[in-house]
Amino acid sequence: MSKTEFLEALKSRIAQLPPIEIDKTIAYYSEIIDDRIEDGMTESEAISSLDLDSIVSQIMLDTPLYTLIKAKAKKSYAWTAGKIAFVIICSPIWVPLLIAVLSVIFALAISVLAVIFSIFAVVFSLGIAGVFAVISSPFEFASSAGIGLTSLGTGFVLVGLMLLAVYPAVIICNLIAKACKKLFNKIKSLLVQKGGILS
Amino acid sequence: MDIQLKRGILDICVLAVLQKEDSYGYKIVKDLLPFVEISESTLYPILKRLESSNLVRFYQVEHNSRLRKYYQITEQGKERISEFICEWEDVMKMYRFIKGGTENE
Repeated sequence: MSKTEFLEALKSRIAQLPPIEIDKTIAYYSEIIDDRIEDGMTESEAISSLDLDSIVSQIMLDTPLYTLIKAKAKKSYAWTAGKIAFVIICSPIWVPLLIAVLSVIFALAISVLAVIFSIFAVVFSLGIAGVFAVISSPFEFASSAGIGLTSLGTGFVLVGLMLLAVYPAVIICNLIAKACKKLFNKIKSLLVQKGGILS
Repeated sequence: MDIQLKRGILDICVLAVLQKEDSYGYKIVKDLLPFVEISESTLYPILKRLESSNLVRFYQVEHNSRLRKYYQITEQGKERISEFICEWEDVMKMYRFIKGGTENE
């Protein structure tokens, strides 16, 4: 493969990027190939060690999803009267679908936040209940020493449980955040792969 | 190694190369290769990221009848290296603690 062929292949594989990004990428790899040749490699050696698939997937994963969608929208839609009419006629189908998809995304986001919130709510409620039990114990001593001691002991146990639970709670929340990020990247890579809606 | 951690360290490695002198893509990779596993395709998104965060800027110089893009570290980039060095002291403490723990087993 020659340098021109390589750059053409790269250009066609990243066609869904904004034009300015395509130009920057082509300029970068053109410079890299020229520098390799200048350093003593032959043209085919300079190109053979560049893995087109990994270059493309790395660029796609590092490009924000909204940039890809914006570029795709700009390229695909020249708004003619016919297209506008078609979109309006089909709106009873796509508007509810869009609302449904957005609702699902919103519900998922709220659920994840609710899980994180509930984990911390449990942890802090242990602490608050413990502190109150400790504070109220002297008053309970007045009525009965047994109840007072039980209240004091329960309070310390609850505070201890809260301290023990903080670290696992943080770890669980980190794991949830990581899982969400992985899921987002997975969906994004499905969208940007050939055959995906953005290819 | 954790991808996010490796990514962060590679960013600093590139900044460290540029702190010595302004440089271009191919040379940055050559300078880093004895120390870090990196390729030109890995470097590209790093440079983009550093540029968009204003940690590096670029200028073009004519070289053998073509334009070569040189990257230059900014003041913010230099600060980022200093921050990393300070943060790394804490990481090294944890490393020594973890290593000590596994050796005692």
